[in-house]
Amino acid sequence: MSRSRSGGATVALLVSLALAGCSQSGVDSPDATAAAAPSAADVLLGKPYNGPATATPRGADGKPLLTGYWKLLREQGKPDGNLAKDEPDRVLPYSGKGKTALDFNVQKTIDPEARCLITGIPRLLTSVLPFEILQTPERLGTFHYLSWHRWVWLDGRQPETDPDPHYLGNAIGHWEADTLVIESTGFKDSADGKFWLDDNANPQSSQARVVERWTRPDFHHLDLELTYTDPVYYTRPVRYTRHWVIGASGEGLPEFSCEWNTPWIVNHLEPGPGVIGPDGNRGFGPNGQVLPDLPLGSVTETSRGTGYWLYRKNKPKPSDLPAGT
Amino acid sequence: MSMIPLATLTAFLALAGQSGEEQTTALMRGADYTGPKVAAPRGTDGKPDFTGFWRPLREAGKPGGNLGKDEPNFILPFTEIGKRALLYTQNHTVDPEALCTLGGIPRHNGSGLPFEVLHTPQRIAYTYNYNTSRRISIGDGLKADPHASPSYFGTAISHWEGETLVIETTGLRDSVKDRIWLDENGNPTSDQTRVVERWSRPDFHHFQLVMTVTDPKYYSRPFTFTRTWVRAPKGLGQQEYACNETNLAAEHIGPGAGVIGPDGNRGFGYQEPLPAAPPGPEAYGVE
Repeated sequence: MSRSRSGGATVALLVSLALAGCSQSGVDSPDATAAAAPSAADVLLGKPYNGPATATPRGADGKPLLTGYWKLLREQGKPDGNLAKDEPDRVLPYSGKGKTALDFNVQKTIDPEARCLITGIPRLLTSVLPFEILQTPERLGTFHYLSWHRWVWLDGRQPETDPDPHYLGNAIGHWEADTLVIESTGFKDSADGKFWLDDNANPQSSQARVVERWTRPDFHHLDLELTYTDPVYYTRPVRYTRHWVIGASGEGLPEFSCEWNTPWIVNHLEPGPGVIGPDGNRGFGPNGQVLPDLPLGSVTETSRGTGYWLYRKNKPKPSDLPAGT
Repeated sequence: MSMIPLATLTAFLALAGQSGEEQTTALMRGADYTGPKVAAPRGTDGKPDFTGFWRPLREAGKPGGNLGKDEPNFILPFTEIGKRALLYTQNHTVDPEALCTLGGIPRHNGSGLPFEVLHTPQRIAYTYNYNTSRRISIGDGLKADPHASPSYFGTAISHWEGETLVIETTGLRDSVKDRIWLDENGNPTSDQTRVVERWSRPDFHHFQLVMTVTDPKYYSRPFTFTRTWVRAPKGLGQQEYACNETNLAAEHIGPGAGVIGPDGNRGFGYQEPLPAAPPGPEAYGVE
């Protein structure tokens, strides 16, 4: 891949980000084709909301409602899909076993998401892609872009003493004032070769405990403070924060069908996450762009995800095509 | 195949004083509620709240998983091209659910497995056994996106008619081009299919569907499918189901639904109880 081609793609992304900014401020884009086909940034990323604060919606029980379609307020200079985002030098505090487990993930395991195995927690929460929450008094669901979802009990139950290991863990939430605290235990283990902590192939053990603290300070914003504790693979707990903004009315998750789950994937895809750039991001392509090209699906069928993972493996992708082709 | 984690099943069996077969059936299939009628809960919009974990009620003498259950001989009114499409699905497509792709609509409504609903005034989600889901907006005057590309769950909008939520779905995939079946039995569905579901919760314990499928390509007239689900006991819900873990065997699965019996059922006879516990490796010849 030549420098000029990847450079061109970067420029294209910057242009599309600029156009996204224009349309948000109400300035019509002079480029008619850009208006017809919104950019990946427009569709996938949140834009800062600077209007008047609107009160947090609340349920009949008086608790905040987190229900909504949430788009990431991406932090400039911070990677996505990397639980070390807020760590010094963006390196997680691996234990000895953790380093071995990381090597195993990088050298031996095919990305579980590329195999259409269930993407787990916390990995789902590190995604750059939007997600949706539906909250009812005793049950909450989070629905994610590549079709996975998980359930959370809010009915006051106690954790099981010996829960079945799950990709999603076993999530139980409770309220601390206006903060929804979700605690999950009972995870699968990276040693199985099918389970990663995040997009970057960091390891996660069956002893992991994930505590999510969710707040919706006003109508437009959703905040997460996550603490990941895993005494097997890490020497201390890891903290991770993220912020989302509510999607526009009418926006919601499109259908996405995980159909790259063929023997071909397992037999031919290289193990590990591919190159991780100095910015801590796993590349969506040779130029290290932070968003996948749209559509995520195949050439003619936007919801059929047959090609998406090639883009994540530093293979050529549509935005790498030379200009004018 | 285990449909529920063994530990959950074991715990459930330990609690109930029934035989293994009866208990397994009770866990996966709804048993009708005969206690005093309890009013349906309502959302903040005053409408019935459909949130809950719902298990299907079987009808005696009717097949499960067959949208032709109310048709003569349980056979749908195929057009000539519909008959050819049926031959195609039975001879050329592996059951899409066996590949862990999305089952879609209307198939999930004909499934014998429970599902869970999360219902808010503006949005409703149905989550299904194979870790799949659909989410639908609720409101008057919603318009389906005419440019949406075909999908397994289609393009759906919904609105209230009194106490009934009406979900209209178009934009579905076609069985002769894609891995989608109308139902468990491998009946075909086309890109012309329109599904109208009318959902109601007449009381706390029951969730009812009257569904009309119109597909002028493969069927000579619209047909209707009705079913009732029963609210599972409080505290039970959908669980993680890792459908894709062993699908490397996909290429070895034959096409079609297999033999459909005279009772209109595929595979396990409708009257047959499920095995008391999922079979172990010995059932597959791998110790």
